[in-house]
Amino acid sequence: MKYVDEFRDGEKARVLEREMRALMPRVPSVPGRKLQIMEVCGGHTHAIFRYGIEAMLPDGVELVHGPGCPVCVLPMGRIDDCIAIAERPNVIFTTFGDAMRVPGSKKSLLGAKGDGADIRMVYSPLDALALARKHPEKEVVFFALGFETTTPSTALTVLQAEADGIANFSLFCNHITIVPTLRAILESSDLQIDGFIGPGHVSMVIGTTPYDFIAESYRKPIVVAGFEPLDVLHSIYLVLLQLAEGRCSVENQYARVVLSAGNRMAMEAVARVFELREHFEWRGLGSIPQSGLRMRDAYAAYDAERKFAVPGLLVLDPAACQCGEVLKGTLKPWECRIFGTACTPETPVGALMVSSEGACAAYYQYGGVPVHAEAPAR
Amino acid sequence: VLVHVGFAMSRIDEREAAQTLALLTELGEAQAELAAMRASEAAR
Repeated sequence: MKYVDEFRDGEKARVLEREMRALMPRVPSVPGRKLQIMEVCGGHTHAIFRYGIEAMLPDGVELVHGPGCPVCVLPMGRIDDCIAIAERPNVIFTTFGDAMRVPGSKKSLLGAKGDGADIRMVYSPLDALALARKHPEKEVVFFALGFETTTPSTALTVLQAEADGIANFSLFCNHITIVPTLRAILESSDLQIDGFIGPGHVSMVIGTTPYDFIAESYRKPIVVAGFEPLDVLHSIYLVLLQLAEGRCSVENQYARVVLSAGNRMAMEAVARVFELREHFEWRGLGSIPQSGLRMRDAYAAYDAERKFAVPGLLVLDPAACQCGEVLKGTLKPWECRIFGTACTPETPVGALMVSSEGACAAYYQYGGVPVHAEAPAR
Repeated sequence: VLVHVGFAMSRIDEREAAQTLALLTELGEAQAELAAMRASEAAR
């Protein structure tokens, strides 16, 4: 396939592997630990494990898998809210497939579906809108979640519903934004990140200028990357090159898709429908100011949170679950005390084992556990 | 175009894609040259 096969070329990958190794003597090392490069986006996490990219890194460099899997960072209480809406008698609740297995405090959406709730998987929010058109006697709710990649699609769907006068359609809005999240990571005392692989699809919407503060205020390199193995390797190389040359700037490796100004039409649709919440609760990272979106008053009629009473309870993760530490990169997935035993993709306890973009599911699926890893003593 | 959840989000820029690949090809060629130079030095 065009733009895919060329970016999976093994010979070019080995060229990059050698270039990275040759760079290392010039990259300043940090005493007592490896250099840490965080890939922010779950799509990159998946690519890294699928293509065995960690094995190609030079000694002294490790990847920290960031919080960019929207399903993974959703707190349990929000899943309970979804189920409360879905179990109302007149509701058809629609969701992307990867949210179906995320455990709530009592059950997942899949469990609720088994218990009789009308929950349907959709590929696009437009499919949910089509259901609302087909079933005017029902309330169709779409579980809107994701970073800026997905937000424009739900905004445009709401605008379409308004234009078509469809009143039985609403969103349960759990959209989140990347910049406050990156700021929280940079401010966290637990984390020492030396450089970032920036999200490709989020950047296709917001452009690259929102990341300027990372280079200017925090003096860290960030390279926006595509999702094929050569893209990821090339971007890690570019981060190391910046470190070697003592530079920090925002670079765009994914220029074939990402414009520095982003997608203006998409951002306008988002700004029309959504506004920032003061706070949004993240699994593992706690409450992050201005990191979530809610619907503007003008679109209250399409807001499931106002249309239906949702419990809105804060529910703590199960005590055994260590998703929080893994999300912050302070624990490797296989070091979690229930990884691969009580928690597997079939019966996930934590959200990171659910989505294919979750670090634990990726480790589990592609066998990323290094042979020398010792079983954690706890 | 790049389609995400049913929406066309970006047009893939052929020229930029070619440039990225050309850059990687050049890196490879430079490596090969360097390796050849080292080999000929070692042979001397």
